[in-house]
Amino acid sequence: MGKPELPLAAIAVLLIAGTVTPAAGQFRVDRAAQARRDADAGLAALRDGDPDGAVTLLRQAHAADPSNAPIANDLGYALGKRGERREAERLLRRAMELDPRWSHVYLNFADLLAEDPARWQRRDEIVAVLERGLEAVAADEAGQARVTLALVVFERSVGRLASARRRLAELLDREPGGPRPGSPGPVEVPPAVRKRAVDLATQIAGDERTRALQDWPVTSLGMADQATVKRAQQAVDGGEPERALALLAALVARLPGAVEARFVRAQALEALGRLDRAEQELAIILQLRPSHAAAWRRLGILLAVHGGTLDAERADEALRHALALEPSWQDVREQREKVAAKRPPAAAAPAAPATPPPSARARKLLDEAHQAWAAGGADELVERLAAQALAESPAYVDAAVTYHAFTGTVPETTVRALWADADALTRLAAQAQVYRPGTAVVARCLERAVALGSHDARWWRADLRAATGDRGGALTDLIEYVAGEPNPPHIDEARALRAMLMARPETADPAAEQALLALLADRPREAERLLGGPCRRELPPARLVELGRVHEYAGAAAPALDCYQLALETTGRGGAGDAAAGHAALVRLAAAAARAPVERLGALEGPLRQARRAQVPAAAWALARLEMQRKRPEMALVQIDAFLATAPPDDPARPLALSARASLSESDTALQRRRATRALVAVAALAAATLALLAWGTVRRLRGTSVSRALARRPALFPELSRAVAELRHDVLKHRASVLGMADLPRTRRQDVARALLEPRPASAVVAEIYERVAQTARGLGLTLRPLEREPAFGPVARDLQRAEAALRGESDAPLAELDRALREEHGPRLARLLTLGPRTALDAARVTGWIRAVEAEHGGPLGAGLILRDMDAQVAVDEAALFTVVANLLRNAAAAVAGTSGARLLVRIEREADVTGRQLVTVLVADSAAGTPTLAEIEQRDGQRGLGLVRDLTRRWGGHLVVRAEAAPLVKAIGACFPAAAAPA
Amino acid sequence: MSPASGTARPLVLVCEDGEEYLDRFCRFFGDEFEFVRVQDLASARTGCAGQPIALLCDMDFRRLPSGRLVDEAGATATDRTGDDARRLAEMQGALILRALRAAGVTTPALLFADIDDPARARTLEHTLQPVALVSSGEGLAAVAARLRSWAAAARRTEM
Repeated sequence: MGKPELPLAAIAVLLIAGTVTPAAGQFRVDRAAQARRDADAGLAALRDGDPDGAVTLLRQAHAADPSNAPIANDLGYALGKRGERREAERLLRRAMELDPRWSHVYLNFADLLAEDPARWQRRDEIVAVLERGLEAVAADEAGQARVTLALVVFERSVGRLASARRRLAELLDREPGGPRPGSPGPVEVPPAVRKRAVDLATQIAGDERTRALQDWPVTSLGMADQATVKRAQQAVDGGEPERALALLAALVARLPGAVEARFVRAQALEALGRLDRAEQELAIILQLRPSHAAAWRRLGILLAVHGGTLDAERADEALRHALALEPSWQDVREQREKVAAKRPPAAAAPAAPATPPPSARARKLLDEAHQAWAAGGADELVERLAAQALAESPAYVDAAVTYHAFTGTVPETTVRALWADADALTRLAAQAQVYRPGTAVVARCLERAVALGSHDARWWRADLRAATGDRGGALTDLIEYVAGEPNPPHIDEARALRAMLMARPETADPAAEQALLALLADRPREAERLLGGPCRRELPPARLVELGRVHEYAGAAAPALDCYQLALETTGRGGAGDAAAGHAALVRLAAAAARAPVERLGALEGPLRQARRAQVPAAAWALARLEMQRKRPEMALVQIDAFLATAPPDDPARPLALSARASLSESDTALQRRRATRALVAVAALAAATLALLAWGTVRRLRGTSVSRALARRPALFPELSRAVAELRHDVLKHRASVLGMADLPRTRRQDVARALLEPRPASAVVAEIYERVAQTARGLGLTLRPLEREPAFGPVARDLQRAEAALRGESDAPLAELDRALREEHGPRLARLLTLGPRTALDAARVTGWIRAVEAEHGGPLGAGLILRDMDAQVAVDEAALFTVVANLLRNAAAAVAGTSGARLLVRIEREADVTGRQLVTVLVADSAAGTPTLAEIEQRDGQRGLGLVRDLTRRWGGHLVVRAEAAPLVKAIGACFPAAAAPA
Repeated sequence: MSPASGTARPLVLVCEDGEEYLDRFCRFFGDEFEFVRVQDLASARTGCAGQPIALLCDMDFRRLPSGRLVDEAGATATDRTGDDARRLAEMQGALILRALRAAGVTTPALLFADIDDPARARTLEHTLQPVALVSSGEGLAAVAARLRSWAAAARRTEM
């Protein structure tokens, strides 16, 4: 006979009183069984799509049996499904504590954390938890497979694709039921785990391919830099590649992400026969901008023509990329047939570390510290042993990492010992960050390593900046990291971090991305299927353009042209992205028509003329062919000239156009005579002008131009000049030269003054570098500045600093007090006066009305824009041409936004205001009545070559910033540019 | 961090996004004053609890992560765009000082900035008082003289 049964309430009371333990055993069993039943019901509810009900039941179960790991896991899983991430994580961790060997929980944990917005910052911690799980399930093969999969899931989410791939390969190498390599026992990879592993392997390959196809943000070039790139291109075209390299050196050093400049540099290197360097340059360009078809083409041809037999695969891959992006390139198609294979060049050996190795005693001390750490010894002991190791060998990075783990800092002697070794500083920062992220010393080491030129440090600093919310800084570092070398070691993580930092463009079409991948794999039929082909009116225009591209790739010009025409006919339906798709259709139609059978061109004349008006170069060549067929050589020549003037230097149709031009010119003698007469007149005029200029120019060249005169002639120099003056006053006069007055005071150590002026580089060298930047910009604008020593504003600063430096080195006895006075009281104010010589553009009614009229003329009719001037005397230190470009683009943008809407309103408003620091500002706003307001973050993502992207870059270059404001009805919003008011003239 | 007292070195808060001012002041006047660096409004507020005799503020904080920049209302935000962050960074020193003044901090301050517009200089001196603007034309010795006079005033107040 069993024990008498007690009512539940009575059992509870007795349990609390601790008086009936035998009965409680039975009760625990009952509660555990009930908990299991609730848990099962909860899971069933979850399967039925009722997460709320599931959570209620699982909470009951967990309350009834809180030490049950599977129930804690199930509850955590259900909470995760309901979006309660924090509570879910707590329960999953609880399940791990309760039973670390129960492997299912790690996979749920990884799934949850793989979607955690803070996963990037926490990645080391999460991976450590999962790796501990791997140790805990060491005796359980199926469990190991599960936890390995969990690690893969999480690592994929933070871009550690290489590690994830390696783990997957190990997992998938195991035969189901077969022995594990190196292990005598049977292997169990549960089928569900195996299937998910296979799926993940596919997804990771897809991740890699898709991310590798996304461009990095564009580095916009200023007008001066654009002019430099243009001159470099002319130098390459004119057979002067050395000169092109010299022109571009400073620009690329300053803006490593400047793809256009690098592309010209690659051409120059190729022309000089420096093919390895050209190939490296192209690889970096394609790393930065995988959509650069011309770079793929050039790389493919370079590898195919100059490469050895083992390069065939790479050459073909590059040519395939080029063709997928620009299917009209027949020469690429032909080149693919000639490709042979070649071996990739061996990677350069890593540089040897610059710091001395640690002593044996230091190593021994650190071993003891690690042993004490592993044995759970007192923190003070580990810290003391690491400190002793560092005292013995200050440059011992591993010891510094251990010391930092306990103290959050590193001895100053260590920082100093490593100060010149970028690799060691980077290693220290990278490892120190794992244990204690975001400390000041980590940031300092990375700053220094970056300053020393370490690319790896750029990656770690980007990581740190992203973790501290500095999105802009992180992106800048990432771009420079990717632009630093071909295939850098953290490229996958960099792409993953970019994906986290940047919103995916709304225009991105996953089907188009997948289709491009199919084309890259040489599978055009699959690409067509992915895009929903064949072309038909119901498809959106952007999709029709992509389908046309697939047909072009497959060599089918006629259906491609049909798709493009259909895309153009359907762009008026008002769908999202219509305008962009329409332009893309024009570009592609022109490219395909340029090499289509000439009989077909008559039917395409309308869209080709439309493309010509949209400045598409290939349209001019297609029209030239049409005109030649119609026997109208003069019209054909006009089109050919237009094509040659606007087509990229690499365009394969150029030789055809040049040959056609030569033959047309010969056949048309009348035209030839006219041209000859025109040429004679031009040559005579040119000779006269040249003679006059030569005399004047020789004198000018000998003298050079002062900065103030250069500014008067080229106001576009002002932004660079004002940056240079600000930098000189802040970095040189304030932080370096201001200590000179201390030199003669009794308590001052002269070596401290010397250090301030001479280290890390002499202040005069910094002045020279800043001046060279201004001179470089001036050269880009067609002016030569005087040599530094003869420049009236910059020269005296450099000269007196050199005198002071010589005195501090003990090489002369120049009077430091007098030099100090001259620098502060004469040279500084002289530099400041340059800032008052910038352009001054008044924003008055006549000027702004003229600008509005100009935009209306281009628009083809009145815009109906009103104008309000809140201040009659608003002047800004911005060049008039730049200001017009800003206003015109704001107006065009607003006009496009209100086009087709009823009751459309546009208003231009000029306001003058002061910010809280008293700085006077002038704001130009263009308000409109169209619905929808772009945010500053959205404008930040736009292409800098046109529209609001151009306004953004131009405004910044001239020291201003963009504003977006809500407006009172009937207007909706105003977008504008805010500039500092012009300073009073000197 | 220790309060200013008759025997300890007077405390001076250096508010900057790098370490240039701190390095320079410590090197030349480290035996006279205790300089403590703060990098943003939050740490400046904490630092002011130590009763410094002076605040030394740089104006431009372009190296500070954008999430730590304060705006005209003294507030931080995590989603600042490039233009907004750049605008605030250019006048961050004045904004930090402004927020401190609004919170009742009356410690005398030096604001290191080349303000070429006299009207703007007057506005800053008026709204952030007690403050002196220090241009690149002012040598380190003159800055030290100002600190010494404030330290002497602080000692007199304590007595």
